[in-house]
Amino acid sequence: MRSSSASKRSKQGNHYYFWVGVFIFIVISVVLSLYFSALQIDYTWRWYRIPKYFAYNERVEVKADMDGKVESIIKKDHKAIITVKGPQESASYTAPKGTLQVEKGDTIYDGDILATYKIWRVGILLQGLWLTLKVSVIAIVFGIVIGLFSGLARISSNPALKWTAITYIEMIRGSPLLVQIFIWYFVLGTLINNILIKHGMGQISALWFGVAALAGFTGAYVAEMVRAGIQSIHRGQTEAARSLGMTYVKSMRYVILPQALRRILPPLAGQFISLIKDSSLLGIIAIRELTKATREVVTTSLQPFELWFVCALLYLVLTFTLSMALQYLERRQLAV
Amino acid sequence: MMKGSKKSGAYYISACIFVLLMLCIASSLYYSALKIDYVWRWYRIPQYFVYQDQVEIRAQMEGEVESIRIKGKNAVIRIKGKEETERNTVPASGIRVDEGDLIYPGDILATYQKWRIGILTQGLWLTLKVSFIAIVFGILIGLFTGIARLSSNPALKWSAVTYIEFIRGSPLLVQIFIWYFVLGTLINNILVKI
Amino acid sequence: MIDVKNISKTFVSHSTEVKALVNITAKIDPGEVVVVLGPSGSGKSTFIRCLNYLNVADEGSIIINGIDILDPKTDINKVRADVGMVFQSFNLFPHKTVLENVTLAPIVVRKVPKQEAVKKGMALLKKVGIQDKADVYPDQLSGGQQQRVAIARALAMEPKVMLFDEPTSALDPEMVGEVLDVMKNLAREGMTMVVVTHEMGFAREVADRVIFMDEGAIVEVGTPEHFFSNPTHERTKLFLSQIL
Repeated sequence: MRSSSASKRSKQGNHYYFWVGVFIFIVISVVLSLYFSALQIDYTWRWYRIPKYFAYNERVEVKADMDGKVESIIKKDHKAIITVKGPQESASYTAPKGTLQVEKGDTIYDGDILATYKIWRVGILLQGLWLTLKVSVIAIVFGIVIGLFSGLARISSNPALKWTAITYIEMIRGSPLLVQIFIWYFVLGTLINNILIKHGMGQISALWFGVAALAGFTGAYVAEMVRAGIQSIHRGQTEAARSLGMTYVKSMRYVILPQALRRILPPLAGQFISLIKDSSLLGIIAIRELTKATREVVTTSLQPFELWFVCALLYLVLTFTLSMALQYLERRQLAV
Repeated sequence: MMKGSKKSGAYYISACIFVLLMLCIASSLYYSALKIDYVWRWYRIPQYFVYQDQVEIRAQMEGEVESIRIKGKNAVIRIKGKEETERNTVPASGIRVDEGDLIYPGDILATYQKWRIGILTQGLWLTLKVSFIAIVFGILIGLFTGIARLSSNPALKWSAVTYIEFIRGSPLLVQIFIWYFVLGTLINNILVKI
Repeated sequence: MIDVKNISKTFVSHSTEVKALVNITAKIDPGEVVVVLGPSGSGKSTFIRCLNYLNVADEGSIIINGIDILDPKTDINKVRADVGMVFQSFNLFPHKTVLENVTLAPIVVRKVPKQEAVKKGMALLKKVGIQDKADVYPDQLSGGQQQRVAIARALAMEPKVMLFDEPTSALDPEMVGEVLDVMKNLAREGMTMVVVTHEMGFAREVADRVIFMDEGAIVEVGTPEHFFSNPTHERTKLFLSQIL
């Protein structure tokens, strides 16, 4: 393949590089037309406002909430513990060393600043990105477990197992993820949380229902991958294993599944990438993943253009890196 | 796979277990809802598919009912006012006024019931419409992009690759927001200016 | 050792019925080498696969070492452990080395300790002439080498009878000999063997009995001498004239 395109290039010579130039031209014109049309409708591009949504330097003030005197300042590791003693009580405040604005013996009033320092905080967009990743990883782990069992049940000859698996798979694959999220949150969620209340137990947060919806959704697709993977193994393998006296379980465990797993991994990785994109729907139930975080920031900053492109770019970075990693692993597998 | 094709007793027992399992799930959902004081009202659902709407035909002017002429299933009510006359065609079965009545603007002349499509059915129809239009355009776009993707011309190939990777690499929800809030605002504002 | 009485097998696919086996009765004594011959579609593969339950006979009885494998109460895995099978397409486990292929079943089914399984495995590999390829993966071996590993794998379970389903049909001609040599040695050592094959030379040299099948039924049974020089039935004569 490579040699033919290289030779094509040398034969076409100028023609090839001309078209490369055309491509670059197209890309630049698309970008510029977007930029200038925005200006045309009096949209002010303010890219400088974006970085703070990634990380920002926050000014923290440690304030006293009582009247008293600074009794002691104990320095421990990188921190200093300020103890303020009032007429009835004492309170302790922690601050990093070197940021203190008071000394031992100072008189303190309620609201006085004891220390100020700056700390780097993770911005909303990065928090959203992190939550997106977290949710996706947890969901894919559970999804794989569910999918493995469902896939095995799907090919079982036991009708209870098989039809249950089919019902689950068809229901999940036949309805939109958004509807499933709503069902998990508004139907199952209400049910479960209300029953928990009746038994005096705590509530389960929306996050877990969201993860459950994603895991259940993924499980059905993984089940089909597991089924396809197992069924793609040559029948002769099962025959050889069984004719050696291995039971169904043993032949699955030592012969079929190890081979099937290698075939299941590539589509499985693709499913993980899809999951990262599907997690964007969780914002509907107030989970602050990346898309929801972007929506919130757009409302406060009124810079939808910049923010939506940044949001899409962040997803692209995630999916693209994973995609490349997957291709690298696949090539390594083939080489082995 | 290797067992006989004859279905043993164990097969039918398992089949029954499946049915039992489905019933258990359904009933446990039903009863847990009751436990948290949720009142099931399935009878309220059909109206969201179809319902009978009460339509009222009102007069728009002040006057007197001059005549009511019945023609088949419909009737024509003529109201004579100071300067002009108003004619309303209404279904005969729902007439609420008689000849000679005094009419003020807004008075109900006739009522009838009409079957209307409920919100859920409307939504279903829109879902189908949207999906159909989208698939048609999607196939066209996809056909050209797919061929461009295979082309040896780098402008075509890389444009196709860029498009494909952008779309496949980002969530549909984000793409919808970009189409509406970014491209939509741009396009519509430019259209306003024109 | 194997007592087959009146077995039949019909395959139903969509609306067509194929009568693969029609009322087959055969007996295989311990130490016998029985070669099954016949044109393609005669049911010879179906027959031998019925012997270890890979195909399930619809009726009749198959008694191996006193156990009726068609009885639903029989633990078929136990029976299969004593019946070794070698397939036309080898069916080696590609994700395991040659030695692992041979030692897997003894370790997992007969619970043989690994060291002992490895020792016995290496001895078997030596017997089939492959011991230097013990740590190699099957895809790096030739067809003939793979089939010899498959034979060693089946022998590792110390079976009482070995079934061969066209073991050399998928091999290039130059590799057929090495596999047949292994099989001949096995026969010489007294292993009970049922072999479905097209290799007439093997049948003539090694077989104690030849079963000729056609269209799902046994047409003729006899010693190789009788079979090849003086067949009784017309169909046998026709088959031989086409082959030889």
